[in-house]
Amino acid sequence: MAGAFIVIEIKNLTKIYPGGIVGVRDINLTIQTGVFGLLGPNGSGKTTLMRIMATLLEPTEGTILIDGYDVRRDRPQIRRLLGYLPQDFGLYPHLTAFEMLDYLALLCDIQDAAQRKRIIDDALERVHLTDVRDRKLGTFSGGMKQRVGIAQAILNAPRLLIVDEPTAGLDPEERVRVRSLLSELGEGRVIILSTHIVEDVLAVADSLAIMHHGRVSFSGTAAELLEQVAGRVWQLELERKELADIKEQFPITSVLRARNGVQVRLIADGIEHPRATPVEPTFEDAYIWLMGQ
Amino acid sequence: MTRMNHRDSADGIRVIREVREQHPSATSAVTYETSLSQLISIFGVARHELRQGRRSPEFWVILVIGAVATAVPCSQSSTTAGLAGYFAGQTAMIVLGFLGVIWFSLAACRDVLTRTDALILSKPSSGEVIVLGRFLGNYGVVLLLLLGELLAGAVAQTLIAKTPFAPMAYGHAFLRSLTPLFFLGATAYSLSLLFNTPVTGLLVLTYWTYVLTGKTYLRSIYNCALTQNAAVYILLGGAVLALAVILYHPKRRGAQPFPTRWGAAAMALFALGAVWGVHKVRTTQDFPFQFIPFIEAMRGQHVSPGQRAPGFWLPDQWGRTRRLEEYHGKILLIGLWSPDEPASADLLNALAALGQKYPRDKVVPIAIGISDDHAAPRHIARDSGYDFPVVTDIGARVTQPYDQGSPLASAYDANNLPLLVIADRRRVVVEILKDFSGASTVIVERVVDALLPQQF
Repeated sequence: MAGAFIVIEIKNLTKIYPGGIVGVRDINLTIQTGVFGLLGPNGSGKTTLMRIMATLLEPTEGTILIDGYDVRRDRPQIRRLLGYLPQDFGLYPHLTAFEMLDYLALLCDIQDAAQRKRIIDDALERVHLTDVRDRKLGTFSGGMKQRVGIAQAILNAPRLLIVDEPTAGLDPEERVRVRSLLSELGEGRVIILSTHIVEDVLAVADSLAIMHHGRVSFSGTAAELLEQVAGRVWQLELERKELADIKEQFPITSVLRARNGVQVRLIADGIEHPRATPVEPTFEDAYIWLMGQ
Repeated sequence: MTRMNHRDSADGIRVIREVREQHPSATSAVTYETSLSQLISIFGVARHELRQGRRSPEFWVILVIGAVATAVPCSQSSTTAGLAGYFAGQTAMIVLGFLGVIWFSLAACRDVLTRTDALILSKPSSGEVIVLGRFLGNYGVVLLLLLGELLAGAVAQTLIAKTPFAPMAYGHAFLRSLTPLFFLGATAYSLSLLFNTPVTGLLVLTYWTYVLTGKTYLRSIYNCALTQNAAVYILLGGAVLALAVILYHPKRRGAQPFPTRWGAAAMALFALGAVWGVHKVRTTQDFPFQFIPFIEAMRGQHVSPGQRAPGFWLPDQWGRTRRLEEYHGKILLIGLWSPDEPASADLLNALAALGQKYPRDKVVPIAIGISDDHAAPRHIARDSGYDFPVVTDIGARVTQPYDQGSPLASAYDANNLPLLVIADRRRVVVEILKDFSGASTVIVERVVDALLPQQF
């Protein structure tokens, strides 16, 4: 079925945990084929949304339709469409990479041993772990475990792949490798990539949503995100003693050390300062501005 | 990359729904049918569970603890081949009863402990593959541990105690342990799985402690370790597992349609187990609550020198029912023993030697085994290769003193075991040897040698 289009509709979704803690509140989104980035700081509700999509959490209100299946009613059907890489996961340390994937492939109802072997070999090759397929997982590094996690998520050729913070804690080389892999996998399926790293989303996502305090504060393409702050980003050099005043007046998106003080980027509709110059907005500018809204 | 606007997406969903309505078979409808393919998944998961269990350091720790515990009683000399196997089996079963419960409880919650639960629960496989596959794999691990412990017992018996080695004694010990380990494991596993914490295994550990220590007041039917209760506990263990399969879905994987097949299986197994259990209680002596008239009649006799030896009507090691009257006209050497008394080896060895020494048409050794597990005396007799009858007191409970728990120990006034009674060819008691030991054989021979010329 990989290659057929798939649509995810999130309707009025709210999740409130016991004790009244709000996970997500009143989310409405439509996600289509390609890589969809879900950006937001820690605690913004990304993982809650992903776990509801992955059929691991029951929403309090509203629902999600995945390929027409309702996450409340049609969990088994959704699990057949789904590959899920959680943010925080473990592996059985006494099994080898191949055995662990074989275990999980059995849980994907792939009963034919030859087919299972072919699928696992293919998955291991895609994540560049073929050489260590017979090594016990207890000896794997964090990055290698993350790649085993991705391999297990693609075992059943999912039409919806949900990856939650896949690059967290990885070194730069592993991060690039995982991002490249996600870009390759995006063809013909929906990949929902949750992260708090803006750079990761920009590298691979076709469209994105930004979450904050359990709500979606932006949804659209990267270009549309930049439009939010176009013509409103300014850069100026200040003496350190001026910084506190400026911070009180405008949202600051970066402060860097400069020759005679600090170089500040800020967002303002207009600014009357002799050293302020308009600059091209970056995604960090837009993201930080949205977080401040 | 193809992109769609909202209108396209709404159309797309409409098309998907229409296709599903027209071709319902094209949808991945999930049923709870346990098909052959599901069995393949169950055994595949079990194989991996067995593999990872065997590779874990905990497996080797338990194996070493159990092996040492099993080897100690088997290292004692002056035992019989059958008794050595029995001691090994009992020790291995007791140790694995405790450690196995902990093992199963942790295995049931492993995904929480290793943070693999999201990986496992997001997979489309049905609950029975996870529940049953994992249980079977870990039952396999526990049986491997049992084999290892019995092997340690066999090695200790052969190399340290230097007593004859009977492979069947260990085979019987293995078979006797299958049911209790299955029932304890299934219960601990199911409870821990459903409550998502290994702490619930404590309930099963408490039950096992009661079984091992509560011999004087716990009804036999509640003891899963007794071979005569095997059918009851296999059925109940199966029912508990079926119940776990049913409840695992709504508790851990979201609301699902009620799996009628598993519901029916659980109810049928519970019903059969209960009916069989009630039948066992009603038809067997279950001291102190249930009394069978003919067994009570045996208890009502009394041994006394110069009086007729108390009779019995009990099964021997070949499954035939033996009566004392059958041996009328022969000198009788009636030994009462218990597998739980190591000194019983002296009595059994003496009866075997005396059976070889004297012609069987004149002198007949008969052993009466007193054990909670009615299969144990039969197994020990067969494993040791005794050619004289070894009957089992099927009304017995092993209590101290023995005469309070066993009808025949009561009839023979046997507070302690082993005990030997010599009766002449008219079944009249000539000698009672209490606290029989190897040295008592000389007395027996003297009495028998004196009786033979008088009576034949």
